[in-house]
Amino acid sequence: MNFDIEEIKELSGDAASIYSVTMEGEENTLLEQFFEENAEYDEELTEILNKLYVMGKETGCRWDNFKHNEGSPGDGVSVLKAGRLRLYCLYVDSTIVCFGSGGYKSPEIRAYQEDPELNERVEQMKAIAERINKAIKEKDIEIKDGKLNINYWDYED
Amino acid sequence: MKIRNASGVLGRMLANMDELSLAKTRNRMMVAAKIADAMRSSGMNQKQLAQKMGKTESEVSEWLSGDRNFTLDTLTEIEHTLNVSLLDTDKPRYAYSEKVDKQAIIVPIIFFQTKEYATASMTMGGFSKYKKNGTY
Repeated sequence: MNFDIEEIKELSGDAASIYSVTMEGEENTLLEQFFEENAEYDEELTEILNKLYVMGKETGCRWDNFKHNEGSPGDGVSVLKAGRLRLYCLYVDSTIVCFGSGGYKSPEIRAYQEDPELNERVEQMKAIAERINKAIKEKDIEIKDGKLNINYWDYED
Repeated sequence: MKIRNASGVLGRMLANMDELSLAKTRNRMMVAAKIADAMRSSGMNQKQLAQKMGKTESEVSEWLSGDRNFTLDTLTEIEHTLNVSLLDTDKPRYAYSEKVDKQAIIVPIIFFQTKEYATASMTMGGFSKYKKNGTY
């Protein structure tokens, strides 16, 4: 799985850096794709956008704003909710969050695993988180001053 | 690290953000952050706060998520429990006195806080009653 990590300029601010990833062969980040794919949920999408904006500029990405432990134990995969819309991410700390994709969670289901599409998005986020966590552990990515600094990124890994 | 400008739907939404909608979300998140900070200051976790206030833990969790549209009464209860200020309930800028109701005069509170208050009390009598009671 090849991807680039990119910071979203308009969302990042003094309080937090907001990142997403662009998968190999894609033009847009997963966060941008999430907004494209869920444009019909205007109210929820606006709420997600407002939250991201406030986090970046003012509050930071507070632990309590997210639901955690959505992925494998300790991998940092979390979810930001607005109504029934779910946006999955890698929660690094209150100053750094890397957003993936997500979707609408039907009231008919209890767990995302029951929805193949949503499950696929979470599995994708888990794979991204695993790769980034490994890079952080091996110091290929450093966390400094609320930013992710890439020292080495093996695109072919 | 690459930095990019948002494009597509996200870019368009960012360019056309609704100020009122953003303010609503911001206020909910700010109140949630204040509650979380107050809990940390008093060494209280979600379970303890829930128990103390007779609420469920999931309700407290929702408060902290930034999603909750609080009632004034709930905020007041939280203020009392955590000894934190969440509401701006300073005296209103303008007070309305029953005594001058018939004349339909709205009196700025600042008026009472100046030297003229003494004169006003003498000439308009009844104002002093409201001043003494602490209510205007």
